[in-house]
Amino acid sequence: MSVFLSIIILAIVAWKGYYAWKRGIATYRRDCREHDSLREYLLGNGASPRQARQPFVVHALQRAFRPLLAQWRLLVVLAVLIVLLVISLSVG
Amino acid sequence: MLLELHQVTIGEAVRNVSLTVSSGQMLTLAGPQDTGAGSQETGRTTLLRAVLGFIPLDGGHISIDGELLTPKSAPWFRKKTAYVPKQLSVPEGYKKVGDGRWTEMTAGERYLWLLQKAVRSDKTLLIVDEPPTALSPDDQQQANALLQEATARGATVLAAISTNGNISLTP
Repeated sequence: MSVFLSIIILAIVAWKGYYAWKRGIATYRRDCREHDSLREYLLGNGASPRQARQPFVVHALQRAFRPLLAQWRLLVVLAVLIVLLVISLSVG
Repeated sequence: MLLELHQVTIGEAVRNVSLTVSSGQMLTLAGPQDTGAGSQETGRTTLLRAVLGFIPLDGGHISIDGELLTPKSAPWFRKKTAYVPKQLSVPEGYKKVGDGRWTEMTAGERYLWLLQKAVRSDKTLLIVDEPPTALSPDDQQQANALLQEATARGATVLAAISTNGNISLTP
């Protein structure tokens, strides 16, 4: 049962992670396209290419993980329900 | 800082431009104002971006303090450069420009904020693009004062201005 439980939890994490990654990449690409002037501004004022990309990476990470953090309560409830279901099944 | 352009050619927009600006001097590139969003950038903006090493040259060369500007040397020169772009858009929640009020500021306020930041920095080369829209008389006066402040502290200034924007920058 613990293997079954682990698979379910891993599946949920992978599913959520996949959508977070997808959201982050989409945000990064859109920001790079729409706000390229910021990258040039930072480069033009002496920033390294890595520093010039930092605002875009930070924004992408925020967009990727904020919804997950906002949903943590839902995840906890879901996990408790699964555990209860598994326990009831094993007792039955 | 001595900025020299020799017979610089970039596409159709910039043809055989040669100029020299040294410390404490300001050189302005004047021309008609860009017609706005969606239009191609003017030759002035192209030239400024080339000085920053963002655009490759089709002909000629640029040197700073006698050193040739190349893709390899450009990042090193940019450390000594303050750049004021025509427009700057930032991702939602980015608070490092405009003291966190960037989205609330008008185009003129944004331009002056960037110009002030560039002038008050310790950078020795200022690359100043023209404002996105014509500045109000008060803003023009402030912009002029800031550029004069930059030249007074010995900075080299290369600025683009629009001739129909009522801007009267004086070296």
